[in-house]
Amino acid sequence: MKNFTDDIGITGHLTIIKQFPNGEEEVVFDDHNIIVSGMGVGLSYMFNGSGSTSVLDYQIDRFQIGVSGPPAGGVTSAIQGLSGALNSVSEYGTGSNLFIEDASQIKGDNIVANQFFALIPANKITRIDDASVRYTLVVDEEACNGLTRDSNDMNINEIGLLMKNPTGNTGTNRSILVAYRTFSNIRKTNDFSLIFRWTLNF
Amino acid sequence: MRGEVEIWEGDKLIHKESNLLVNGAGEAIADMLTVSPSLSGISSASALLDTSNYTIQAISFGTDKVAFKNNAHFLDAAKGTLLSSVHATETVTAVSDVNQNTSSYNPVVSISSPPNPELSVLEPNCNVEATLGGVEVSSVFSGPDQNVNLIPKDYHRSELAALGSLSAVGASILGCFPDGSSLGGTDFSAFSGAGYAAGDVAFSGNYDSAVNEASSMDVSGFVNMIMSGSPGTTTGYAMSSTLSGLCVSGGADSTNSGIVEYSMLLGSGDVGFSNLYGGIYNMGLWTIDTKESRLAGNSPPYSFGPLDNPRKYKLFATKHLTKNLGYIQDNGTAAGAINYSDLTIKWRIHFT
Repeated sequence: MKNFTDDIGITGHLTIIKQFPNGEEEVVFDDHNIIVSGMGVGLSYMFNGSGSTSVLDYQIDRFQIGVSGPPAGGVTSAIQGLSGALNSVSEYGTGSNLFIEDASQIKGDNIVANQFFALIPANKITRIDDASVRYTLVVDEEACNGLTRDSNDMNINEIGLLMKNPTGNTGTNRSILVAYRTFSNIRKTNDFSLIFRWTLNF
Repeated sequence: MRGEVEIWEGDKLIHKESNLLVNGAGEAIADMLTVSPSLSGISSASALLDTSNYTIQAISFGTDKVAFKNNAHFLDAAKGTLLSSVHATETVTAVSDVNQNTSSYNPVVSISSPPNPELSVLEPNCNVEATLGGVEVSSVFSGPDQNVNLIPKDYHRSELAALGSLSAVGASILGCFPDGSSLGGTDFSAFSGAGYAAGDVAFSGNYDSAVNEASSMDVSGFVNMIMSGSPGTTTGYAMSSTLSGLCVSGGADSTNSGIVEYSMLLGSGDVGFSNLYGGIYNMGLWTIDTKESRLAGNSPPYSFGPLDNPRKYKLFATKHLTKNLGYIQDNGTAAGAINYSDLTIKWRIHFT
């Protein structure tokens, strides 16, 4: 039941699980997330009728993983993008089961091209009660392994959920960040998969 | 996410307060986020992917449940005789026990139920208790716990057909918005006594409706949302026309502010006539309930119509007022009942 308030605060919770080939699981993170201003921007496009006319463009069907969190300015709802999002198909892992899309991203007043997003299969988006949706993001054993930049080993430590294409841009999707979270460094190897269980409550 | 309501009388702000976003708001967003993309390949269901199914599509008005058993909703033998004798086919409205020395009606109401985020209607248990020709009026038309719209002839003849020749009387009891001006509006009479005697008329008159002139309100009292003339490009949240229904505008800066404004002009006749039925203490914004619409046997797209509206609605936000929007007093020699002004309702939802 919602608190007795005049507004509804959209909230979220993220659990990160290491899953090993033998089925063993280890919870490495379990905490709330940050809903960023892009959620409101995307929803206002839909409710004022100025964006896409298809709800599919407002669905949260993609995520990004990054290696430079937390952002220098601190974690606030004003974040418009990850600090160090993976920027190629090869960084996400060419042998992984992730489907990567090269598209644009809305960051404030700017449209930034050639951003890389991992798509969330529809069967990993689950309604868990009247006003809660769970996204299960699977970074499999072959994904995001051995990341390096400038010859330095890089650990994954941030993740974001994005709305597909709220402005309804034709051609290339223009996605917008709606939820964000940093976490302690994880050096991803092919010894385990990472499962991000992310629940949004409206 | 939050909202606020402003009510303007001309250029005078008479009310400004936060609204209450109810659970239905979150449910509507969750509905949108989880609708299956595979529907795009099914011709009979692909219309469910249109955003209009998940955004605010209507506004409605109501009062407290006690009002539905009093005021113009009240029916006894004397009133039944009056209503059925005055006009056999047209609807008039009458209230009793008004002060002979005034020309303003002060409706009988109680305190509305407290604001509750679990509400799915404006005010629960708003039932009219009246029997016509041995038929319970509520069994013929069960309204959605708000001010309904059955006065127009076409509406009550269709919805109250089970009452036969008494359908106009039934409409008079159910209310709550008069005919449009092109149909001559709707007459009303206020009596000083309880017997509705011809010599007891304290004041009378005629109201006409803006919403029924535009055919923008369905029989259940939902005013349809029409898109602003140029959404997202207007400045200062300007609306193209609020006479035709509920308008929406995000303004040119909507991508930065995340504010969407809904606006509606509630005509003076609609305010005055509603006051005879208990006034206006509650308002609500509604999205389409796609599940209930389908369960009712309707297929998308759900095009609005005042009669046989295929849309079933889900409450998104409410505003409960402590003062009746229809409250009025005589002003010197000016009768209150014929001195109503148009009201403009501005309802802003802040998504950030």
